Amino acid sequence: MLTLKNVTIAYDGQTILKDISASFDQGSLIIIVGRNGAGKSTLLKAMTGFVDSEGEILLNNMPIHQLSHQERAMTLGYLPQIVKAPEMSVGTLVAHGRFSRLGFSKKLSAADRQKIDEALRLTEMTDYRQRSLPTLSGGELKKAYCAMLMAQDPDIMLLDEPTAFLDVTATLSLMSLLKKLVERGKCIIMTCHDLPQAFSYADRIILLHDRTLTADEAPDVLVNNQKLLKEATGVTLKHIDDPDAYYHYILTDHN
Amino acid sequence: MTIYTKSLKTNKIYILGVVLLLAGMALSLFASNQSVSSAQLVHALLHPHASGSAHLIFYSLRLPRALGALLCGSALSTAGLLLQRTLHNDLASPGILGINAGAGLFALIATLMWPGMIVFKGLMAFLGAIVAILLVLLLSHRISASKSSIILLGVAVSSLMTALTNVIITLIPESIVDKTVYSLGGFHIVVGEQVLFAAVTIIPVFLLCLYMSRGIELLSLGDETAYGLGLDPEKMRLITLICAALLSGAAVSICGLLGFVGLIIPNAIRMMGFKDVKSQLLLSGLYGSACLVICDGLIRMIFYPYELPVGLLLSMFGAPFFIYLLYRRRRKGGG
Repeated sequence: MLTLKNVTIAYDGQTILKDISASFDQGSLIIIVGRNGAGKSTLLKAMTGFVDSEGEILLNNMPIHQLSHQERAMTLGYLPQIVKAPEMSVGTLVAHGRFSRLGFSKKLSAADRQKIDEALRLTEMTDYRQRSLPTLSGGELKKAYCAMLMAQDPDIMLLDEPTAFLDVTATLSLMSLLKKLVERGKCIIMTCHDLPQAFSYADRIILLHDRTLTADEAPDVLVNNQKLLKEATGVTLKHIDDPDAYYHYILTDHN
Repeated sequence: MTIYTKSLKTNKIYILGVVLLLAGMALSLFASNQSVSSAQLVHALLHPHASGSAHLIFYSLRLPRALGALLCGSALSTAGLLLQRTLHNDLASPGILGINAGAGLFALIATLMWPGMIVFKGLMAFLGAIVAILLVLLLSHRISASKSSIILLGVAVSSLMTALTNVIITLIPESIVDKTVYSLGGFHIVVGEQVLFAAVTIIPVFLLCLYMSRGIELLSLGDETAYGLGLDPEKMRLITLICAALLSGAAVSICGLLGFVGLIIPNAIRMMGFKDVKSQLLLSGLYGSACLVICDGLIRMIFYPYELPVGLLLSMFGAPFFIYLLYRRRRKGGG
């Protein structure tokens, strides 16, 4: 379980986010939304401990900075928004997901290899195993990194804009995979700019606006607060009842 | 390319490296000249308790020199690789970044202050290497330097360290036996004690780097990703740079300011298609050793009875290679 208590994040003397409190349990998909510059990515980085913050960030009731880097990474995984493509094969990248679980010998065990194979299979990247990262498209690269995170297999996964650069099919496939992981008990916290997508898949929406956490609600509750949505995102949403639709919310301009 | 074909190619490259190293060692240890024959040198190896001029030449001159070249080649090449991986810059090397010049300056100071104390010379060389790399990193951090600017800063630091070295050599000419050999790098005067000191530094540091190879590789994914995977990127970078400084310092205390090995070998290994740090480390160490042992043996044979510094030969190949890398980088759009 990940808990934030009165977390304030400042950079160069400027407050980015203030007094954020929230709690994240197993088996839920939480999507953080907000306008550009609202602090979504910064909040995710602070949750990992990568960005300094005031207040308390507890991972399974332990302050995150008291955990070793390996202990933290076994429970909490993080995928940044912009990923690099160094000279490395997809297979090697995904194998790096097991880094925190390697013993003193630093060698991959049979169980590690099984996790790597499973991660490649789940993300449909098995055929790309030997491909070099610089030869991949933006979407393929993002999927390769998702496979790395799957291989890491932490209880809590933080993903910064995981669907950026993905085409529609790949986006739907990744979101469906994330839902499956949630059903298996994982806690997934991600940022997203696509509001209909966020509202359609999330169990909870966290809305950041004006440097604070403005709302932390289920999508079907938050969608009714049209005034807040309009103020925080510039648009409103409407629920649609079409069983064939991939997204169950559409953007509207309700005044 | 199938995995099988790939591993076959990998094995061939490892075997070729071992063969080249062994050939270089044979050349360096047993090549005859006017004062001693190959048979006498082989006899000296097989009868370590015998005496005579061949025995003296083999154990006091040839063996320390060959082992010195082997260790320095491996150390400088590995240091170059570590710098390139840590700074994400394939133009980085201990010579270009001023690390060798820093180590050389401090080793010279140690020679003046504690003459004959090989351990102090080695320790001071390590300190000089650290000072130089810290200076480059500090300045590059201050001016938010691009990849190319870091190289220029290295050149500036190298020039400063070399200028200070030249001041000392000019004021105290007896501080150094042969200025040309020192400046270009060579193995004219290598004693067993120096080789021993270098070995106890270089071998454990090399093994440590092999152990850390996965962590070093994670740095190429960027700090955020590496952190997410359970690495402390800043700590790993610092340890890797200290290892590079230790390797360079140990090498410079034996062979002087030998440049370009740390640039040529790791880049050549990368161009052969080896992408993972562990393979790059092993092959850089192997081919770095082979390169220096062969070059030193060849330059001694070709110009006999004159002793030209091996650094001269390396500079002749290294400088065009550096220009090629700059050209290649420009074509790829690197900053």
